[in-house]
Amino acid sequence: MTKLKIKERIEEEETRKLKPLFIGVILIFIISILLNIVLKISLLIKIISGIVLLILVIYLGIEWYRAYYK
Amino acid sequence: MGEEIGKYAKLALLASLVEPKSLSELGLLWYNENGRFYKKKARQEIEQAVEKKLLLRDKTKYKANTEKLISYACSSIKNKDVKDLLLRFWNHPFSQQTYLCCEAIKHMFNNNPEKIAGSNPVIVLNMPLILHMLQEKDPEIYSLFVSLQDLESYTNTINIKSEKNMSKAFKNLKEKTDWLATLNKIVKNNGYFLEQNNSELKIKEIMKKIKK
Repeated sequence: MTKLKIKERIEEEETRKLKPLFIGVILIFIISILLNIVLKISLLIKIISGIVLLILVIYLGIEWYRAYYK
Repeated sequence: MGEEIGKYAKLALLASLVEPKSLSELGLLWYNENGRFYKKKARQEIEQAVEKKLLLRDKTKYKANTEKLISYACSSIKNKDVKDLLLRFWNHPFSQQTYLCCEAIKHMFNNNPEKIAGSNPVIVLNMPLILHMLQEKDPEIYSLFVSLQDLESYTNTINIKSEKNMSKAFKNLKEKTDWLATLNKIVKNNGYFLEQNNSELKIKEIMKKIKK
């Protein structure tokens, strides 16, 4: 039986494009918790890693925008 | 609207919902002979449809007044939100190019012009929504409906057309997801549009059972 595949096709595309971005955001969230609460590291390393994570969040934001609007 | 126009005008209307067609193209499409729509009766009916603004003439080609058909189909719907959803859905180029192309319509009626002559043109707008709704709500009834109405080739055509039109009709993923959200909202209305349209389809009873 032939099914209408339009919905499936759009949902698949959405998942394919956005899933890596969601995983990225969750990973960044987990890493930032580890750095700030669990691991006992110096303030300087915390600041540097915070900046790196912020850059990653901005990168993911740009990728999300590109996936949705380009 | 179905009773207002003759058989040939109805055939011309349904074949030209997306692209304009000449009389010769219409003849070849429905009867495999290019002279059929040049006959006096066919020309008269088409002229009457042009006067009623159901068909729009562009030099030698004719194009259906798709907006008029869509607003006619939605005119009986009382709920403003559902009406807006349907208008938004049907006025999107992807919906028109995919569901209202002449190939899909031809397959919906199993290449039988006489079947079209006896039908209400609004059915071409209701059928894809019925199929989406049945597929979502009850896949078994969907399978039954498709096989009983002989819609296998119709669903195939829609799938092929959607693949072909997707990149052209949508600018980006956002537009695709918005279109899908509109379709999902219509589907969630459990056939409200169908009841309001006074459709003569037997599927109306099936939908009522699903609602219960």
